[in-house]
Amino acid sequence: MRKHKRLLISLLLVLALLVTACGNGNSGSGSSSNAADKQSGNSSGSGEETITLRIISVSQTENPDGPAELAMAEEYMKQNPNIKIEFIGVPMNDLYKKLTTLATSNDLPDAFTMTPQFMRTAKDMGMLANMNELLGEEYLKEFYPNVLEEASVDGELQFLPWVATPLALIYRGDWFEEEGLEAPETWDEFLEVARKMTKDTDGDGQIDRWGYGMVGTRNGSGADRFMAKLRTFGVAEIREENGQWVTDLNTDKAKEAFKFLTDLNNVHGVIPPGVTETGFPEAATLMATGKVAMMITGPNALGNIYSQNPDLKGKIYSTPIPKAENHAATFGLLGYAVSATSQHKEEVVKYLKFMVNKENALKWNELSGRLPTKIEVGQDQQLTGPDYAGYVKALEYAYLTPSFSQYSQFQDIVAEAYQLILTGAATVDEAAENAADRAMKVINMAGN
Amino acid sequence: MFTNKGKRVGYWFIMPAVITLILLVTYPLLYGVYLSFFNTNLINRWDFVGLEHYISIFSDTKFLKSIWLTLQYTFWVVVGHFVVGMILALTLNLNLKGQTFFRVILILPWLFPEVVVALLWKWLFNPMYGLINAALLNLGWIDQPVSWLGQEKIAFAAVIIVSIWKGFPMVMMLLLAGLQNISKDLYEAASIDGATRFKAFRYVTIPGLMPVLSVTLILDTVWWFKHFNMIWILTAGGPGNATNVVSIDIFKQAFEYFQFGPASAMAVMVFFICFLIGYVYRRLLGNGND
Repeated sequence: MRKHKRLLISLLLVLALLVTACGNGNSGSGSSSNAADKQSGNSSGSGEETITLRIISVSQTENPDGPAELAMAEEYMKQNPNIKIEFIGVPMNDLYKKLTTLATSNDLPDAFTMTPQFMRTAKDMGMLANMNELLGEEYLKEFYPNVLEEASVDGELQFLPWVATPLALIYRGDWFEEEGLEAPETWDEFLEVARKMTKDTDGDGQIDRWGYGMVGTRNGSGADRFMAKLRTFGVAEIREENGQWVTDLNTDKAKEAFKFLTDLNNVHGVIPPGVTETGFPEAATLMATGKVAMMITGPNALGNIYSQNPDLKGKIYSTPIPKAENHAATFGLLGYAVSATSQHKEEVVKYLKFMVNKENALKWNELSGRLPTKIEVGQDQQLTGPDYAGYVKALEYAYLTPSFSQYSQFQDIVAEAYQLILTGAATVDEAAENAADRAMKVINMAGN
Repeated sequence: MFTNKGKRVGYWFIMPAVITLILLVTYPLLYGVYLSFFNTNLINRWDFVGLEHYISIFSDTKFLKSIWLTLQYTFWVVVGHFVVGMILALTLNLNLKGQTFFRVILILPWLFPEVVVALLWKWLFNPMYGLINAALLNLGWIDQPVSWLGQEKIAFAAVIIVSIWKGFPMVMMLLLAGLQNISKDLYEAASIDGATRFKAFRYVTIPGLMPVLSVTLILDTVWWFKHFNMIWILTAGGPGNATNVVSIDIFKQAFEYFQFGPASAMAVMVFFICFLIGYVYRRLLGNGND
């Protein structure tokens, strides 16, 4: 009897352990913006069944985007009482890791933020539902064709493009007008105005305002900006030539570009201290607090800056990124993909269509600054002010993200190069050659 | 199979712990080794490549450089832990007034989550708004803000300082426990024999602490060799590759480049390095006490 008792107690302990270990199967690092149960599911009610849609959104981690997106979802839920929408906020720089982890544990939500930089990897992993089938060709005719091309792989649409956030140069128009300066068209003009903007404004002998707030962190934020700047020098981090992928990162043009862009910090001192620690949030704060006069960023930064310092409304202007050879910009496309494993694809697509309708697109643009992707909305857009006009112009110079499956690796390749030069750990030549070596390894591994 | 009733019952009682260890340690370890032989995205691509990743690791100077950097990082952090930990443990062992209060204060860094510690120090080090620069500028010790995490050598030192600050309490507490187990009679006998404080420390304290020292040394070394969280938040392995320790390298391989096979191979190599470190320590410090 005693033996059986001990056996029973041991078995109960083992069971308790297993239940505890297996009981909490949900992913942890994203924060949910809804206190409701995370599992998609149906619950029977007196009328229609309630469907919960789980959506990973990078907007939830930004201000004022997060609350605005929640408000839009709440409006949709009011119009569709059988639908419950639950957001999982994930910062942009962690999105790809999060999606990969969820995909490997077969726990992807119904929809998630998607970008052209990651869509090929996501497609290879079988994460994405066929958006052409879900949306229909007639509906897709309402979008800008080049935007759809940017969101497609081999003609198949991978995600619904929601907003475009092209990169452009924003600058303190009020300061420029005081000094009689024009928006820089070329990099030489940029250096000239940056020098004039770098000064000691309070007479204590210390520089307290700088010309340019560069994002110099080793992540997507820094790398995307730097790659766009390289493109203005005619340097492509990767491109197709005669059916083969090649890199320009160790060409003379590239070395000239790396030197010029890093000399802004190392030689001319027009960038505040700590450039390699300055990410997008830090650079936006520098702009909002009047520490820098210029910044290369997307129109979403305007919403962020205005929310920190509303007095800056009307004082920030935009213009395309200066050129050495040509202007350049990324589309900065952001949208939502539907998970291949979602049980509620039709319901999710209805919500996504609601998000990009004219009324919501215009509201979203007014609040966040991000540009709409539908033709009808673009023609009606309220982007006539000097703060957004540069972005509209920049879209004309936007280049398509290279259709290379391992493209996300190039962000780190370029970021490593500029950090090595900025810190003096490598010369321009060394950093450029190292970047090109890494690029060729990636290209060869992917089977050129 | 079992002839002794007591033994049988013992096995049942350790069963929950054994199952937990198998599920949480052994299985992931073996799965990692398995992954290291494939080019895979863990979902729909499984290309067997044999030892290709291991060969590539040994011919890749970058990985070897990050191992060397990690060894340097670990060395300085462990030395820092032991120096600071030993000094404070000896001080707390003097039974001075306010000892309990100081024990609580001194253990606080270890109690804070690593993420909180890293974020706090990141703001302290911030070149524009950080307290450290503000204080040094006010004192006139510097005339320009310093980018503590933005310069190679300084960033490496900064990360080591933060790691020492975070980890010394554990070493301090273990050494204090060890010190309190050394009999006072030994010190009396040493004093009678004319031993100075330094000689008493060398011939009584250190030998008395040896069992605790060897365990603490192994644990501390292996823990900090594998460290990731704080370095990732402070510098993400930068600037450049200045703080690109092997754990960051592995993380990037897996979650930024999605190369799970090479990442697993690197992780397996780290396992063997940690195993070797533990083995060397036991041989050097075991002294036949096993």
